[in-house]
Amino acid sequence: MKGCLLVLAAVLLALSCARLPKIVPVTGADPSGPTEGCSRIFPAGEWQLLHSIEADLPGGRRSVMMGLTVLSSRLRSNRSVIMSLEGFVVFDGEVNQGLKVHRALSPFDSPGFAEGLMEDIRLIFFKPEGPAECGKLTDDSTVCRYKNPDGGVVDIVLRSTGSCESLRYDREQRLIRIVRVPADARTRDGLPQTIELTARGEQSYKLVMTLLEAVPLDP
Amino acid sequence: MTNTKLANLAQTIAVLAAAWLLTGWGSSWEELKSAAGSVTSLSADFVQEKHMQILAHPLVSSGVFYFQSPASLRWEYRAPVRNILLMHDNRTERYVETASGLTRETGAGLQAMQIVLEQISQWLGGRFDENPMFAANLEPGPKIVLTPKEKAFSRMIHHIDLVLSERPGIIDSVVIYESKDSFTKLVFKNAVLNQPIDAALFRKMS
Repeated sequence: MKGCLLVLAAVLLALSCARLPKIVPVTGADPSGPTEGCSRIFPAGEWQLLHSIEADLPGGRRSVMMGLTVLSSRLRSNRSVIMSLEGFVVFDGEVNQGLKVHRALSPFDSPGFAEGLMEDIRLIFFKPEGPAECGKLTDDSTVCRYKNPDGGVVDIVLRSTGSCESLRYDREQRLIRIVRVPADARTRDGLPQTIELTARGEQSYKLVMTLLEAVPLDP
Repeated sequence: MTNTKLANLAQTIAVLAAAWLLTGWGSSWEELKSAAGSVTSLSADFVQEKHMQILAHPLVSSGVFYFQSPASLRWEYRAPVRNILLMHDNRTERYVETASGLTRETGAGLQAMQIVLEQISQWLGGRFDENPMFAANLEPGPKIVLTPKEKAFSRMIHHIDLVLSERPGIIDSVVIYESKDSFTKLVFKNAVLNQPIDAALFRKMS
């Protein structure tokens, strides 16, 4: 009986894990052409962005921090700083042809934190590289699918409700990150006012990012 | 030291420095200590600037604080993210504005604030030179320079400058240096000394 329950639990767990959905090609459309809609959810140019970040962390912990991101879409580079609400820097890292950590205080100095943070930053702010396979999902959402070098996949999904999602799947096609930008939540510059990131897996967490300040840095 | 503790410490340093408003300066630790005994209550507005080399413009926060001797404190940021720190009757609470309104923060950070509260008492007593965490140096200017005693702590705070005004008792600025290219500057204004403050301000978030 106990064995049956274990098998049942395993089956239910497997069924509950979201998997990579099939794309339905759109008749007459270029299936490999990235759509403008899929690109416009990412900031273009150079920006200094300040967000408040409400973090729901493992163990029921909850924390509110501030996140500063200085990014260039052209160079695909970013400098990302996590601060306390008082402005104390607890993490300062940079990706510019490689990862460099300038400052990391406990617990932000744990192994893999910087890499994981930068992967989240990339998913939130940068359009995936490479050609896209575009089409529709079964719920009529528009989707552009990009293959990562690590074997994973990123889907950029434009829902019919007007919200946008970036969905990251690992090489086993398990959904591990969901970035959601609600509809009608944009600044004059088209930047998302609110961004939600949900991380699935062993270290699940949720971040709600609210834009406090956006400074264009383009000359 | 956790990041929360560190953040709270930074906040406390600002509070402590602000509590020196209007205490009347002296030229020695003894005179500072003596002058500090005259403070029974204090309130002021503050503007905080965060400077970093990578920033095109500093990040600006603002708020207000209230202090009642011996150890009641309300430190409130009103922008850009409202959050309130309350310390009263040996209890410390913190509330942060979230999507669901002002939310009480729980966790290790509160314990850290209890520790920091002891420092407040020390500073308000003028006992800069007895602080276990910082070595204090009184310099011409006048200026007080606080340097962490522990090497591990100096990774987080390089040093703190309290720049005193020529006007006796007024502090011009508090600058907390995290590194050579990252510092936080606090400027106080509209200070009110030794006036009655509603005790509810230290007990209730709103």
